[in-house]
Amino acid sequence: MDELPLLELFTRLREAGMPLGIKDYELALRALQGGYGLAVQGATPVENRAALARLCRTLWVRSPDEQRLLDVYFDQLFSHEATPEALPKSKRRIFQGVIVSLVSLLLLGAGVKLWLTYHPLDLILKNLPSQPTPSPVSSDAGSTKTAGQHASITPASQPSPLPPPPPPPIWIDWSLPLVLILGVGGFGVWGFVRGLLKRGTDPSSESEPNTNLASELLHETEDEIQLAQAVRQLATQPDRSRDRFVLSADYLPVTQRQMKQSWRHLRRMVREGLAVELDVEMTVRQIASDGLLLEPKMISPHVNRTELVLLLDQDGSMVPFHSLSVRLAETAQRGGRLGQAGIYYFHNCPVDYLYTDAWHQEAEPTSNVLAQLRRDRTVVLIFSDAGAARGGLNFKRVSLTIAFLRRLKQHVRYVTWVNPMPKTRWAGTTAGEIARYVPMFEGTRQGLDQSIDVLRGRNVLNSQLHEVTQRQGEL
Amino acid sequence: MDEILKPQQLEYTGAKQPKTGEQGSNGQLLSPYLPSPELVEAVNLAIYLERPLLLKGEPGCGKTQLVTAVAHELGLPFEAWYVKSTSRALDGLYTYDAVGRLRDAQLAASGRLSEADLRRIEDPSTYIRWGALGKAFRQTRRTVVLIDEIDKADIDFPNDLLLELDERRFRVEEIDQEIRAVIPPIVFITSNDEKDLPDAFLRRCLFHYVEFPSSDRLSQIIRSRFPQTSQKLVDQAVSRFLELRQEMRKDKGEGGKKASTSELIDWFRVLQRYPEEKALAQLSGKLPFAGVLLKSWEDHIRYLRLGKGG
Repeated sequence: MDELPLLELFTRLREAGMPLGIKDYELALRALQGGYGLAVQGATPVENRAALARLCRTLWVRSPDEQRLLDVYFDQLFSHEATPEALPKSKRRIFQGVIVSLVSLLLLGAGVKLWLTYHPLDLILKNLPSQPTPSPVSSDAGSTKTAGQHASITPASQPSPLPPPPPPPIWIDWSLPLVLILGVGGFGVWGFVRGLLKRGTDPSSESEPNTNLASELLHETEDEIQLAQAVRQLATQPDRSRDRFVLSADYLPVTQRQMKQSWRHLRRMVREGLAVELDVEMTVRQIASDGLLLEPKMISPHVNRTELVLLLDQDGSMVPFHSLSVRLAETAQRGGRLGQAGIYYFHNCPVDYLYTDAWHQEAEPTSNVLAQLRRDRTVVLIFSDAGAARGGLNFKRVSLTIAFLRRLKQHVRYVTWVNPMPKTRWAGTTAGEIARYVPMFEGTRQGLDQSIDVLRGRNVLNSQLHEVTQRQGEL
Repeated sequence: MDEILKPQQLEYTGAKQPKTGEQGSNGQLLSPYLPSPELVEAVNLAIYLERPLLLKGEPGCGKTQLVTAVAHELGLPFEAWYVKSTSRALDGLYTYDAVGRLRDAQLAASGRLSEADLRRIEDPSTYIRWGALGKAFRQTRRTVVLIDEIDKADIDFPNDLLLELDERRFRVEEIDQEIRAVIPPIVFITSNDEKDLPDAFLRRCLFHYVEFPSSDRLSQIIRSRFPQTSQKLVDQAVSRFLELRQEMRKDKGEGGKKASTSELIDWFRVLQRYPEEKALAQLSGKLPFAGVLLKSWEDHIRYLRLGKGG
């Protein structure tokens, strides 16, 4: 037990995706050495635990989500330590199981041998139909299942099945304890084998509730890192061959954190506002031409002026990607200063109306939306599978989408398309056609970064070149 | 010397309160502040580990107040940096008065400066104006620094402060000089959570969420501010206030703007000007002085009729 304190908790939190580094751990050690989060004289264990939890919270937690994560893992780890007899108890249980199953195996063997010597097979077959009758009695006597008592039990439980005369007395005499022994023995063996199997497949049987909790948490915090974590854990455990598949409603090629980081790049610095910064170069030039300083030249400071409009395809084939689009919208709104990040929804392809809510309730004419866009600063990111999820080529959809893109390009300079389907699935579908008119990228980290590059006015040349060469190839 | 090398452990208790009318180092009137035990612990941890403490919480829950209270109790100098939407990270360290230098150069060239002035402008550091962090780094005493509402500035602002907060040094490019903190300052950062802060920045901070005080603590806070008023009036006012807040929480959820502690204090200040009977009578009727607590027309319509008498 000579381990570093809190290391287990730290590792688990890291595995769950909390951005913690070695430094954070060192910090905790230093705090512990400094006497923080430690037992106060005369405090109850509950209070001590709370103090330690508070320390971890102050040091490692930076958002409510992380707090929930910490609370869960902390409870898991430290509730076990609080009851030290938990482990011996489970060991004792295993020991008991072994003893019981050995005894019942012995009994079973002896019973079968005895029975076979007294009753040849033909007798058994003849009497088979009458077997159900003693079974209710056996369950009655099941509570007293000690080995030596079986002789004394039989006369005691005899009176009730006595009235029906047909079954021969020898049969009853032996069948009752035999069924009893068989039951006990079979149960014992089954339990023993099951215990063995369980120990074999899962070396840390105590971690089983943990995985359950983690998956609950997954639903609660919707944190995709844990999903990735679960997948990784399963992949690294070779003996868990039975449950190799993870069933999850979420498809998350980009984590929330990566999205935030990507949005951060979306910035176009424009000189705007009051002239408050000294323009040294211009001032020096002015002095040189005038011969003396008349007035310093001022210039407006750089400000980030990017207004992002997100157009999200909703429903239909996009249903599997809803969690992804929600995340995209959330991170764009919160993660950066994107002016008024406008988010509009559409279904399949934007035509006359765009919707300001995901349920297509509040419609706004597309022309109104477009009229509000400012050519010099607004950029548009479209998130849609463009028909690639379902496959097939829909000419109507292609022409409608392209008509919309043409209209859009009259109002904004940079438009990009993020497609959650992998690139290999675009060819031959509507998406493949649309990708010729707009830079389209996969919904991965790289794809997102590339599309943001397009929105910043970079990479545009490449994609346009690509477009041109494609068209030439077509001709 | 020994004291500088090995700073003695400072400990904030939250127990020492300023007397009425006492002024802080910046001339501001100090008022009592009653922190929760968890908050006190977080403050001490930040002092001990020499890490900035990031405070989040509802607007008006006393994040900024805490910092003045800490500076007062520990008897340390206090530097505040109120971040604005146009603030740059450099502003907190220093600003260089290039225009002033240019002007002086012109004046010197035309021979209109005295001997003393000339000597003064010889030194390039004359034109440096230190910001809050810059001042704190140069102090030989431990300084309490407040970086207020860091989320108001540009999204890259926090990232630009990483080195300064981590290694406590920065470079003044204009005079090519490196400033290293003589003694690490105690840094508090507040955020209203309008924007997410970058992970790299968060990693360097300790974090504490300032919770809304319980009703007992609210009574204590009011009592410490207005010691002459009767317990009955305080209890009545606090319960009325909590009722309103409860109602607001029901309607708006956790995210909406709810009446805050600071608004309660303002409200009570108005209330206690009246004789006790009259104030109590007002409390049992329609919400009195609603303008102090309700800040939007919708709130006004919705919660004003929420009186005990109906």
